[in-house]
Amino acid sequence: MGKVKFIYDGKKCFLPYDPEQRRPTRCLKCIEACPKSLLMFRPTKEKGPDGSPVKYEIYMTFRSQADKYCPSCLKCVEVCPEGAIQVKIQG
Amino acid sequence: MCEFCRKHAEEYGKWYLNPKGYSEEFFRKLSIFDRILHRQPRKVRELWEVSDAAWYPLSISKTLDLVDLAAKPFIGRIIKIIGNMIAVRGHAGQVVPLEDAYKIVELSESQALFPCMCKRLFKGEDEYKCLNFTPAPEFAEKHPRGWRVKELETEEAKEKLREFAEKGYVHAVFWWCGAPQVICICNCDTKYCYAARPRLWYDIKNAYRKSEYVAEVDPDKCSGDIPRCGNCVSRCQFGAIKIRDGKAAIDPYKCFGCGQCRFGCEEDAIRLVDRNTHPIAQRLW
Repeated sequence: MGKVKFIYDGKKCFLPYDPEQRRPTRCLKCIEACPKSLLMFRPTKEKGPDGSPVKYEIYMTFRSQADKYCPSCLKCVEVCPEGAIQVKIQG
Repeated sequence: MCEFCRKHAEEYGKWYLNPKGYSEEFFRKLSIFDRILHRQPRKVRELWEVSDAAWYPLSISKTLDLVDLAAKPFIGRIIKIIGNMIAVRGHAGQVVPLEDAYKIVELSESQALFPCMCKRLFKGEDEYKCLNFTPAPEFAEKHPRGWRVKELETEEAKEKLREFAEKGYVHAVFWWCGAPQVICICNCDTKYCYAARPRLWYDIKNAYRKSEYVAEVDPDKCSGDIPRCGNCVSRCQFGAIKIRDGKAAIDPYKCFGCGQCRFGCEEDAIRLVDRNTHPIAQRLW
């Protein structure tokens, strides 16, 4: 298995903060699809007037172990309706 | 015997069975180290504020980046040592079997179900399966943005634990701000657990310690009839059980002693034995 590189395009994907649920509730199909639960959302550095996050981004956790645990199934790429995720497998 | 029991168990045998761990004292006195570690406000209300999922993930993602460094060859060793230290002083846990989870529920004053933070972050859904004890529910109520919790009676809590055990979730008792203070029982699916994966993938031991027990198979009772049975294999979240020579065999190096395999066994062939008496597992925690 080669090196896995996860590329996320924040411009195509839009995950707003939901004040009711206190987390993003829109989409999140990629993190549901990941069989190893390697993907997670985190707030971006932008802050609203009350200090709450404005927008979230998707990122890959445990990156140095991703070569070992990411099954390279590309399900995250498949389910993304905006085409915001790319996974590059080198070697 | 693991280091927490040696330090904190006194005459009760296990650290989490010591009633001192359920008192509210620990919220009052925090050392400077703890306050820096949790950027700790003295007021408990604020303690719950930092655990609000909307604000917290940024620091979770930073912590995860740090944990990730543990895989690196040289820095990794230092990160592991620091990680183990922080886990003891911070928020980490130990696996407990269902019987001990019942005892913990009886020792605590009030119980409430919280949504599992790990599932919220890694699956994007709320599942009420983290059983928090006094004083957590009171503070959750006072929380400015209102944590949604479900308060339970002791019997209801036990009923819930049994339900979670049937689903195959591993019970783990967690401390907060130092080892003997019990704050909750998490019912984990290790697939998306934030505490179990540093242990399983990076070997940060104090993040998720093995239980005081280890599972053993009675070869006379086990039928090992794979197409019909084999529940124990699928129920083990740690991949410790394999069928060898027509019998289930438990790898003591991998077994966490959660006891979930017992509930799948039709022949009642698996039992938990004390880890301290096991020849191999007694050194593994």
